Amino acid sequence: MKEYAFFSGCLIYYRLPQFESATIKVLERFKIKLKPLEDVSCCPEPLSMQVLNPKAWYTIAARNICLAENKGLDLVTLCNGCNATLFRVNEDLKTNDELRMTINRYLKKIGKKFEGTITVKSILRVLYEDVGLEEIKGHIKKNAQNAQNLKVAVHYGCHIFDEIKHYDNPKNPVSLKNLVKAAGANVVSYSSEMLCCAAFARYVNEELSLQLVEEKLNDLINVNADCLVVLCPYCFLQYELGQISVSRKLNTRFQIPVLYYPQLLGLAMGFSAYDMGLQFHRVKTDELVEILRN
Amino acid sequence: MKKFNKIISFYEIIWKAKLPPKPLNSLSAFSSFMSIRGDDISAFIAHCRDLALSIVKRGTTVAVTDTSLRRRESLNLPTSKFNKVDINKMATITGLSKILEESK
Repeated sequence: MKEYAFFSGCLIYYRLPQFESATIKVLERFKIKLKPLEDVSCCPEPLSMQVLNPKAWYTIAARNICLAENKGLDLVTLCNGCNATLFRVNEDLKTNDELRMTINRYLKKIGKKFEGTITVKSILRVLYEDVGLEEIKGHIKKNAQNAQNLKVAVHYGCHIFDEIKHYDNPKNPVSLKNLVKAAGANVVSYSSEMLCCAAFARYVNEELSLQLVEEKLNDLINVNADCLVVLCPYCFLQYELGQISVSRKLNTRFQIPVLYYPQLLGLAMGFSAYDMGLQFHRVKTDELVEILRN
Repeated sequence: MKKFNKIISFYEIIWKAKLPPKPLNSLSAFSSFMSIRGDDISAFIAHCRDLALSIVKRGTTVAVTDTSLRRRESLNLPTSKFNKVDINKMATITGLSKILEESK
């Protein structure tokens, strides 16, 4: 059994824990055990701290990485935003001696030291590289072969693009699409595939943010997508709760289920909708589950 | 330029604005985007401040409620709180607390 420390991040930990439990269950089938890190803090969020004080951003992130180093385990992130912070900080501190010395001076005051002994990986990378497409295909339930009738649109999310260039083509990424195909589903392309979810912009310019949600939802309808698969809890909330806000605003009714990739994979592997936490979704997923089951 | 009228992916912004691809981080992309649009970035900075303040005070950007902890319990997940003591100390020693105080 391979072990990783995992970092779920604020949003999954406190608002979308069903993503955490679904991921743990799915990875156990691939003989990967996720061990929770105790005493963590926010990653911290990649935009705000860098704007205000990059040293604080590096130091707080390095403290979280130290917790995984102390366990001697590589760290898996379940959220694109956490990956953007922890992956970048880990790489920078490993390669920039001066920066590492500065940050270690701060960390010393709380009894910690960044050693640079572990790797930070997204859940996308773990599934794509460490588990692999063939292994995934071998775990798909026979009755989920009907998943090929399922038209899945994917949304990578901006913050994964710092890491993704190490194993995929960032201009035309295929990793998530191939993972969806490995789960037996059909991938549909659409014009706004690389459009930012604009979750952060929601607090800066709400109207613009919702316009962008609407644009993507309309594109998904145009290609008859049955669902949207994401890798990031912020993107998830933007498209799930966001479509409720957009529906209200336009006096219409978008009903496009949004799934976190491990949830889709879990369903295709034979886990129940309940096991994957779909009961917590605001946009109903019954039809989607029905397609997978029949 | 039509696409710059919207917030497109940070990644695309980097490429289309021909910014240095490394470091590819969302901050440089977002601020570039804002300047391309000619936006007033005060709302953006205010939101950054709110988030940072929340992290320093609670260790998290998300409000911790009984409901959220109950949901974790129902899924058999641990319910330990995020660290705020060390975060507070680090905010002080790195000068973040001072920045937050001064920007009130």
